[in-house]
Amino acid sequence: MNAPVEAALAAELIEFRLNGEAASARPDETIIEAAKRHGIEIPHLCYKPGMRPDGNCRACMVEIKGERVLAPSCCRKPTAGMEVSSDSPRAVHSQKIIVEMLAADVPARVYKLDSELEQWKRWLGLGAPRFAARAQPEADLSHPAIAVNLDACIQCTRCVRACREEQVNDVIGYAFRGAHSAIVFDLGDPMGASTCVACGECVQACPTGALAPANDAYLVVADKVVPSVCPYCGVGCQLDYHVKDNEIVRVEGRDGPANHERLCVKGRYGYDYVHHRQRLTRPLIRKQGIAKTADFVMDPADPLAVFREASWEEALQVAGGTLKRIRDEHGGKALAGFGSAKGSNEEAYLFQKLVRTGFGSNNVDHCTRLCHASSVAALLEGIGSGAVSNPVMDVMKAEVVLLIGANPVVNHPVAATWIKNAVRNGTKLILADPRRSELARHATHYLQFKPDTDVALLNAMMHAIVEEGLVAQSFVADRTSGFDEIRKNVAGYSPEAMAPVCGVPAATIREVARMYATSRGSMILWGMGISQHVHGTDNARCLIALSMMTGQVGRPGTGLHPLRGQNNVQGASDVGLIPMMYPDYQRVDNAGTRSRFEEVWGMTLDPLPGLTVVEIMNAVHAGQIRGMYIMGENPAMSDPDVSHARQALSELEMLVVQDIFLTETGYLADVILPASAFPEKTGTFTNTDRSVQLGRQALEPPGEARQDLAIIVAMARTLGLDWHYDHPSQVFEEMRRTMPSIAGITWDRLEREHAVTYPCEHEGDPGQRVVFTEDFPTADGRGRFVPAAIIPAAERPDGDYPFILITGRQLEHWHTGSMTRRARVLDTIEPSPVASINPDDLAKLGVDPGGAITVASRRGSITLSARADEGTPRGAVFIPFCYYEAAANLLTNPVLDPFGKIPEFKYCAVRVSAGGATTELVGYDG
Amino acid sequence: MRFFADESCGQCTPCRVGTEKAVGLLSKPKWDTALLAELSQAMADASICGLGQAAPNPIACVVKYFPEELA
Repeated sequence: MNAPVEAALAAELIEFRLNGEAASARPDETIIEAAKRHGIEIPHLCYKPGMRPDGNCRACMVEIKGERVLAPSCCRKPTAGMEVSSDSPRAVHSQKIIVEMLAADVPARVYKLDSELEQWKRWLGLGAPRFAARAQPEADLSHPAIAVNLDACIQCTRCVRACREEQVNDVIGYAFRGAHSAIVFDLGDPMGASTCVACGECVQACPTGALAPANDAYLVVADKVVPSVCPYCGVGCQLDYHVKDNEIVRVEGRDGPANHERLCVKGRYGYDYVHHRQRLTRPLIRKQGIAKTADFVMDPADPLAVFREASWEEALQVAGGTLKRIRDEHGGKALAGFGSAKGSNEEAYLFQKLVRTGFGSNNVDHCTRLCHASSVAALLEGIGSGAVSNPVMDVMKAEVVLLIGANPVVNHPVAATWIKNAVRNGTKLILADPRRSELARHATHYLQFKPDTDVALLNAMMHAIVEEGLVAQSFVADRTSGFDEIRKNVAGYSPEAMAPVCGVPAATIREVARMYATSRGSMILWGMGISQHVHGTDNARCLIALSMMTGQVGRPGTGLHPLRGQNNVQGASDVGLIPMMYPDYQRVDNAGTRSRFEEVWGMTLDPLPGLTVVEIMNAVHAGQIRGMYIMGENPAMSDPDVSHARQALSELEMLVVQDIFLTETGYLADVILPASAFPEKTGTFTNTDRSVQLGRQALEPPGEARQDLAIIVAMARTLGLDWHYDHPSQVFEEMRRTMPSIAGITWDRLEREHAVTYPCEHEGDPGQRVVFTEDFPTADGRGRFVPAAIIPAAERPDGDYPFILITGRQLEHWHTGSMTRRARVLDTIEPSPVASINPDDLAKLGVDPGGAITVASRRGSITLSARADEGTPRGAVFIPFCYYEAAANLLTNPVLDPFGKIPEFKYCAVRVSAGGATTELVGYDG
Repeated sequence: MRFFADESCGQCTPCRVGTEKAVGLLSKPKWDTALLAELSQAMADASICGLGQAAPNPIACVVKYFPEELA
């Protein structure tokens, strides 16, 4: 909610008088703010700290000596010598009459316990209102998450400002005149039918409960309020869980560094999956004689059709015992583990340690392989660090933001709000993406380049920069190497030659290149549109080169930011949940590094890098890997060519799955260990800004479900490891000892400050929000240019398969949907699989919006509803990958980028035809 | 007062709600002059613009110059 506040500069204070006493104010302070600092409360309703003051409610009126009328203290700033009274009879009279009139118009029915209006009424000592109430409007209960009770509305417009100025969704408006004035959604539509994205910012802003949670959560007094972090995307919003009787009643945004009280629909309304009746509460063992097949039909409501319940002792014995036997008979390379980017740093650290020391190989990976592996490969190679140079919030300080291959409005919604705020403050946004997303309407330049032509576009921008003499010569000379190679390489990519290739006019390419190069601060943010290609590493190399040749890195508001997808994908990679590196990106094939870890962990380690996600599946097929331990991941939905992956999983001798629901992967398991949901455990999570944040336990796990850390420890013991970790802080202490980048972060400090940004190498170090300010963390301190040539996608459209398939996520759903599809509000808003397709293409197919289409590739075929979407380019179809009933990954191509080993999720050839039989909904009944 | 209620833009409470409440009070067979005076002062003191600030003027005029009409 709050706008980010820079540390106040030591400026001269303004001396004035307040209620007869001497007072002082900073130059940017209003009277109400200064009064609060002096311990003087002034009634207010339309004013909310952090929001633009609007001065419409007039409850905060004060008397200023010498002025004809009273002044709103939320808008006026004191001047030297001003004499202000908030307690004069005249000021108090207005405050009282105004609150009394507003109170007269709201109903006796309570929508929010102890609303702000009630509090001020009490504070002013007001009794029953002496005015008659207005005629009251009907409630609008059309939305699954938010109830609109305009009878309680006091027209303060906090919701309007939350919607238009903070989240910049521009849905809520203030319509009509005089006493007819009303809050409206779009053009006066019912809220449920409007373009509202249900971020709930308006609900959090509303002082009376006129906008309230639809489940009457405002009428419940919570037992406790637990500060924690959102379990979804990589933005890492801090939030409060309001808990009663071991159930989450509601979620509110906290003032964390990444979100300042803002949340999105997933964070605010997607919490009730933890209480879903399909939660796994007892260990399960596959029944004898039930075969594993790749073409299973899943019924997550009935696990006992396939599994039988077992005790923890038996389940651990079967799981760990079998993996141990496989290790002893076939060696450590016959085993592999997938950890999770949804789990904590401590869980990820112990998981990779279990694989490396308990299995005895480096066959450990997680879904980073499917999202930013190529970006990380390019970043490590070019500038020696796989993390972001600047936090997202730095867009507020940038003059130009280049956003490419990302749709943050959907995937990083709160980060998108800062981008929109920056644009409102004058930052120029260059959006480059084949799919025109919501941010396009905010962009100064929108480049709808053809899918797969990233390198052509970026090389052409670099060509223009070199040709027009915009290279930052001193930066290139002092801080980089290999510029000659890149200069020669981009010489062959003039904007004029590349315009027909990428579909963007040469003049536009030159203009945005100039803007990017010459601004006082440019940020590049990118997403999976860059990384999920066979040339994903090349795409990222181009972005790094672009930033280095223009010197646009290493200053506030100036740098590189790959938007991380999951809540802890940054942290999971940092702590070594990847096959080629130990914690802190220390390579396993470096003898010195290895001996350090051998010493800390007390055993010999495998010197060879392990296999990556897709390579592990291939190794299972080849009979090399016989047993797997998968924690919280769902490769049976998230891997490319998922029938192949399911086939592989079904061939395993022993598959142990640790999860909170029976996932598609769980369906192929031999043993399932019931685990803890995010709010049921404590641990640290590292967001896309490199902030290490503390998620705190708010609930007890259901039934016999156990916390993940305890399960990993128990599994390690069955493998013969003598582990004793009773609390995540003990694991964190061990991590600090092996990871220089977080060595300075203490558990106590995390408990106190909630978030600390790394690098933080010594205790007391504030942590660096912006890095690479002086040099790059490479051997010679210089960034390295790596040229990239155009490599086409592995599977181009042809006569048989003329369309391009692009996969991704939706606002309401996350990863494979195992959590979000079981959240009532999210499932109600987006209940079933849809394919977005250009209306022209849809018309050619003769299908009406909402009708069924069948999308087939060389690997599979799915049928789902079509959604007309003008943002999807002609000849392309976009399908989210979270729906089991029409799994997009049945179609995707498992070819890999040679460096990052990331599959090409963003491009394969498909055929689209009208009609087909849709698969019946699984029915998670969120 | 119905004129002012009609003209009110609806932005600030003293004018938006004040004019509407004043219309209600003025429609009563017997005016509550004390409450009307309290309301008028808040409207004059706290409204954002001249419309709300001046809207209650006629009430005070009637009370002051035509008290017999209210008897």
